[in-house]
Amino acid sequence: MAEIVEEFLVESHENLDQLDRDLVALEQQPGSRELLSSIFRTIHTIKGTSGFLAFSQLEKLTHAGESLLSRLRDGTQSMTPQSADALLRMVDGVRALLDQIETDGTEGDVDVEETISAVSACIEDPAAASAAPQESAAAPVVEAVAEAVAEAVAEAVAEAVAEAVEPVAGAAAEAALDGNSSPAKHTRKPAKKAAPKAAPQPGTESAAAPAPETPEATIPEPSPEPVPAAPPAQPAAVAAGESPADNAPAKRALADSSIRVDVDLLDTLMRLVGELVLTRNQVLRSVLEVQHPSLTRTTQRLNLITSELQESVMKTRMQPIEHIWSKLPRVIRDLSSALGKKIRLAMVGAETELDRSLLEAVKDPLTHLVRNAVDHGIETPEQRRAAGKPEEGTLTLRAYHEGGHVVVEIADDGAGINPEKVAATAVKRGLVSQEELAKTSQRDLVNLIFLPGFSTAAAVTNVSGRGVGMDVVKTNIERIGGAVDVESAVGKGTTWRLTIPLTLAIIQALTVECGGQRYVIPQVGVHELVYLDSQNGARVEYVSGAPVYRLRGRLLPLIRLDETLGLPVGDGEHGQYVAVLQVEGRRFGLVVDRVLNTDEIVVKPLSSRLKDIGVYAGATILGDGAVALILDVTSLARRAALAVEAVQRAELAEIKVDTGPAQTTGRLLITGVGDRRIAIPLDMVTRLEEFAADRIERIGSREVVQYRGKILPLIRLADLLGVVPNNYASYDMEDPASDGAASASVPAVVYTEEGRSVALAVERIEDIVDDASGARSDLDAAGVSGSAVIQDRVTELLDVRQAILAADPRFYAEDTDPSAYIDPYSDPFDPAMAGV
Amino acid sequence: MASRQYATFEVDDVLFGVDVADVQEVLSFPEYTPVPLAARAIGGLFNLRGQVIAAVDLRVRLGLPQRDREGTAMNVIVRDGEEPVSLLVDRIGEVIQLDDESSEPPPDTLTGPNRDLIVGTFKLDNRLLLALDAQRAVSPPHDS
Repeated sequence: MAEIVEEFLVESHENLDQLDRDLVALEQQPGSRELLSSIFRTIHTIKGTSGFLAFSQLEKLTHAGESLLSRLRDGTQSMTPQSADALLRMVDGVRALLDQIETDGTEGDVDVEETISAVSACIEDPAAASAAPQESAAAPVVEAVAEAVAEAVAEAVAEAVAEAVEPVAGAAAEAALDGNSSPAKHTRKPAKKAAPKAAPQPGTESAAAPAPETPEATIPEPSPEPVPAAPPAQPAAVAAGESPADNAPAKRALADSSIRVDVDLLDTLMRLVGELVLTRNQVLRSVLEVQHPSLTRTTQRLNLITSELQESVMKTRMQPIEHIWSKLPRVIRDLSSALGKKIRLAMVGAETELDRSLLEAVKDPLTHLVRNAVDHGIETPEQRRAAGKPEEGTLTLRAYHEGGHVVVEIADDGAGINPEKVAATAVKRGLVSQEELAKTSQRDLVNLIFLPGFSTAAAVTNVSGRGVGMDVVKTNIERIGGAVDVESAVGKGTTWRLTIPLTLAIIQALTVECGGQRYVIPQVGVHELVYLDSQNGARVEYVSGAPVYRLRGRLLPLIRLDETLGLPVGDGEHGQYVAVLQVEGRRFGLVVDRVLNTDEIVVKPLSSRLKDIGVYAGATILGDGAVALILDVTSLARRAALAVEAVQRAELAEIKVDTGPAQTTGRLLITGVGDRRIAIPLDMVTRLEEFAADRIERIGSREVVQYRGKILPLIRLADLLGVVPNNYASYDMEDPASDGAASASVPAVVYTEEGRSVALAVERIEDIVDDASGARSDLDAAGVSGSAVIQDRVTELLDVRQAILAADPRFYAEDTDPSAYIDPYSDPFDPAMAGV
Repeated sequence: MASRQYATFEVDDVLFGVDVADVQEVLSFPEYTPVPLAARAIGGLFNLRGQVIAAVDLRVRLGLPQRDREGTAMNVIVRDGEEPVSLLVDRIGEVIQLDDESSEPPPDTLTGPNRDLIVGTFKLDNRLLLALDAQRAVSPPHDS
């Protein structure tokens, strides 16, 4: 295809996106001459070029549109919904023709007659409709220039004068007309001076340019002397594009300072930079061994430059999210008018940038959520009125950066999601059982909407509910390492929140070893790491054949990586690690032989030969140059689904069977508080710490300690249990700290779940014992769930939940900070975190 | 007279050749990352100047037992569309020029999995050369 045609296509597609936005905006402000002029110019440009390239259908269609537009622009007739529809249809027609041209270089048999007549029907004066063609066909180029110029001058003069004489706008006009900060009283003069000069010399940039600019914009040098007028023979496109009345966003002006680059080239660049990063890492390691001063310095520079280069190259692939948002006003307009709803769209943070490939991946889920919000979220005007809300619903798109991620929110002020309804539907579809529901919190009920096979649409409409459920949205977002989250209040509205990584190409990942080979797990899915010490009793159990592990009292379904990959199954004699993963709302443990390290890795595409396997998300090159496969956690989760279900059933059964405190089987940590022995299930112990007494600070009435960069709430079991502190009694001879000097340090049990931690301060750590579950009594006291005889002494069992809540009342609140997604305490090299 | 150059190599003492135009490069590589669950013919992955390359075990494609995964193997890297793929072979031979007309169709007695990979045979002075369709040899094998 000729290059000129290609260029025309690229340009026209860009213009059409702008056109869609303008047309929808036009409906909001029907009188806006700027918008009409902008639309007119765009159509005119396409028409001019299509005439030049002999695309007659396209020319005819755009000409019809142009005739209508020129009447609207001149105010001969005003904008109606019919004309807006006709114009949008025309834009669709243009798009269809352009697509056809793109496919085979001809206009094919795209039928435009119907659209043309629809557009013509909107022209109130048929004479004008028929008269127009000859006139413009005769000399489109000259006409365009003349029009653009006339328009420019008229507006420029009018606005410049208006601005100058308006006292309020004085400062603004000054900024626009006079680059240096002359006093406000001078403002009128230059403005008036500029205006008359502009008139006789149409098309001069200096005179006209300041007028349409918004006051904030600063024109560096609005020279008082008009520069020579542009040659009138300039092509229509150029004249139209540069005409000063152009009110398009500043972005267009930026086009001059940017160039088009082939995406493949950027991808190659990105790949090379990825290589460089790896090579740098290798060099850094080698240099550490050599310890050569000047080499070390040079390497540090290399390190710095590489990081900067990496960042810059990543930036070249960044595009504002506006790119995918720009299609949405049209989608919403069409949808809402089809559904008879009134919806206002607000966009915040359209300039937020995302990697190109991610942008592509987010497009469909985003569109789906928006359609869904329009279809199911926002009510009809009648319903809204009845609910005491304004008839016009608001849909807000918001994008912002947060902690290395981009968050995209789709918020509506509609009816909200009714958790009861969701629950009922989920049960009806057989997705969950009543028992499971009983355990589910209100907030989690809404999340049932993400289950595969769930669709809230009562009737399948052509808008949403065409079999693409929320689970697909969730899967697609999770595939790129993101997360979806929904928050809804009945009657108030719903907010969908997509959390998306900044880039796909480089990710944080955990390297593990299994069957002598290294595999890589994307860090986003990894919640924590648990060491299964075969010597220490932490072991894998089986529930109806499915392996499980008791993680702090809850059954965690396990998948053995070696088994899943069809490798010889290891015996786990030397201990194994469990990576606790969470995807698609499922939590499971992946059993591997060893955990090696976490590092940034560059994701490489997988050979097309291996894509069908489905267990691998890609490959990467490790620090030593070897290739490692990246595991697709989502697909592993699916493979694990059966095991997970078995465990869930078992878990339900277990909950039914052992009620009461007796479920604290396993091993117990015995602590001393005063002269009482308090047992804490070892499952509820993440770490044992010793805090210096002077490190304990206060927030209000609560005690806290600074712990690993966080504020850790601390509760003294002595206070909780009503024990008089027994610091001086000191029968514990092994711990000199506890006698005399009001204990210089406080032993504490730290418990962590989902990124939240609390510390339970005791006075002594005495022992760890197997729960012999000997003589047990349910005699209880405050904060204690029972007692038993352990090691021949009466030992009270701590009601851990109550203790935790006393320390941090919000501990089990569900709104844990998503940034604390990865357990900050998980330390692969510290077996203590699991087994103490 | 039309002629072309063939890059030759041996697998199981049989001489094969592929059109040099299909060959990107030839190299030996010591270590391959196995891909569990992949087709048997996938000999592993390796790092070629920052690109992850899949190696296809030509022995398996020819219906022979898998090669020993340990140790260095020779790679004939051919391009499959945009993607380079390696063919694992035993030994690399020389590049020879052969006339198209001296090619004969593969003998009818040639059956089995390698039948569709062989596009022709050349009678050299002292042995036979089987011309291999490189694209087919590296295309996803159907066993799994």
